Amino acid sequence: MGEAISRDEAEDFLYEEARLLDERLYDDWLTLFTDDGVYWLPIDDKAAPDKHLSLVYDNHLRIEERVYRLTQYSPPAQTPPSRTQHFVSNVQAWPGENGADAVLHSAQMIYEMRAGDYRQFELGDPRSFAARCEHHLRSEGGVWKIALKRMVLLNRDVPIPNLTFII
Amino acid sequence: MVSTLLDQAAPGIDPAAYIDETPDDFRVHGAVYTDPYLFRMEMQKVFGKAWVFIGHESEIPNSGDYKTATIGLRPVIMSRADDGGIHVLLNRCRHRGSVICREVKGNSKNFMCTYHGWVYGNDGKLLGIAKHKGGYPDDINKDELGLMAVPRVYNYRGLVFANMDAGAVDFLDYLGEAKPFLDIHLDRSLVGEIDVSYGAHRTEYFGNWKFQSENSTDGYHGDTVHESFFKLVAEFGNRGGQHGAYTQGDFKKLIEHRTAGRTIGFDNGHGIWESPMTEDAILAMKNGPHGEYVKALEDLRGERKAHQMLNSMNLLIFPSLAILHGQLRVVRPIAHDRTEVDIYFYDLNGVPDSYNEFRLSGYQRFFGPASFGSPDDVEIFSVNQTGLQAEEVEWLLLSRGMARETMDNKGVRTGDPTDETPQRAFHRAWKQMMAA
Repeated sequence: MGEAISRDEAEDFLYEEARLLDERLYDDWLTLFTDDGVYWLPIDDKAAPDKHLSLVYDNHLRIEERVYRLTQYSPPAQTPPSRTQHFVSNVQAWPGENGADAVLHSAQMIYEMRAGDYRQFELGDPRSFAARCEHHLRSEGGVWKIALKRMVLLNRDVPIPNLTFII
Repeated sequence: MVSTLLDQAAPGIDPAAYIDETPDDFRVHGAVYTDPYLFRMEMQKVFGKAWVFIGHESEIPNSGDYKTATIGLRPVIMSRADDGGIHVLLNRCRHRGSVICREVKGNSKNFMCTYHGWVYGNDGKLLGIAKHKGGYPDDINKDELGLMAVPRVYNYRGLVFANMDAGAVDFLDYLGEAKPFLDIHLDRSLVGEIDVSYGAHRTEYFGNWKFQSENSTDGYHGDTVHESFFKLVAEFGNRGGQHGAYTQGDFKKLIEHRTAGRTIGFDNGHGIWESPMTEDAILAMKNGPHGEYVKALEDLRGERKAHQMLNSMNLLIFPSLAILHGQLRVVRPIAHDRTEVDIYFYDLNGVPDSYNEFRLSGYQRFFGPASFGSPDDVEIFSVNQTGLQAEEVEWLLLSRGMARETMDNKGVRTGDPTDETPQRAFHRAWKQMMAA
């Protein structure tokens, strides 16, 4: 059993992650992960990632690639880029499992919009994503790191346009 | 049959006039993508007459398994009945027209209409009418009131196609000269079978369905639309799973390599974009972790054929199925400016598990709504649709490569890999069907 994390610490951690994403500080967000960290958005929330397609199933290398693509280039699906606003609630801090020291459960509401010439298709329309999140954390030298971020979207198994921002 | 609005020629509408081909020019009218009336016509004259892909038999392995799909706008169910047979049925109660199945897949012996409770078997037979007695004759002929079966169904090596037109040409004649290319995709499996069991990536865009069909064999857009991906491959290599044939790390080499290959256009609208593996890439693959697979494929198919089979090769089966990079891609028209795309990754049966895992990882790198590739394509379709609102510029130009395109004695046209040869084949078939 690892060390406990308080609700206050848990909330601080999640709020800080949300800030980094909303400010598109993706390089800083990347440092929140352990070297073997995984970022996972399943489609079938009952299935293993090697048995069913996932919206995202990134090992650390793939997260690095994701950040590289978004910070170094302007791919069409992010030109103009997404703005996001995260809302984090229903936070619970549980003891760790499967090698994690703590597991944070939260509910998140993410609003996303691309501005630019808002008269055009795909631009100017605010979209909302609701998700159940689990952050499996490990303590590394007294610093909490994400070993697994798993987000189960409400609309995970219906058509989703453009999820190329980091949610 | 009662005549409907679409049975009558709309005043001023001649679909053939929207595709303008001369020996050295090929133009498609913007209305082909923007006109709601032409869209309604397509649902009858294209999707009501063509062989449309419904699903793969491995998606419904057991008796009672079903999945839903569409033929144009028509909701259909593909089910496996108790005797193991596959049925493609219209998802519409014969009483008052409600759908009788509301899940995307599942297992059930029966389908009950949620409106008045009529019950159908998974072979479509009407089993029961709620409160039958007194409301209808006791001896009402239930055989005539089953779910309407789609008139023609063809199972090609597990791929189930259906056709609403009882008088349509046979599937193999429809596929024509494109058949060997479909076989290549399936024969990459060492037992000639694929398994579709990973669910689907589903996305939607504000744009006409034909943009996705055309783009599935478009070799001209990659360097611009997917620049960020090629740069990413140059930076990170393919340690985390490759996509297609781009195994070389050097960006300049990647782009040079993309000018090798060919495009092909067939009768009935099918098309190919193909990009070969380089000698170096084949050698690297043979000496890499998946060398066992390459050697087994060489033993089975012969070295030359096996190497050709490793090429990136995108096949569009008109109108709405693309097979590329280990996936079945289904285009679902919703409205003239609204489209859904479902992508099904598949396993190659009989190959080492590690190779399928590598394929899956590489697939997820480029495909799906949060990936590094296909969302950029989908974005372009909406960009296209927005631009076409400027209706005074009437024509889109699809003439690229006409002067260097060749045609064989079977009418198969071959162009350079960035040419619009397959897109022209698509629109010739579209014109033929819409004008019929």
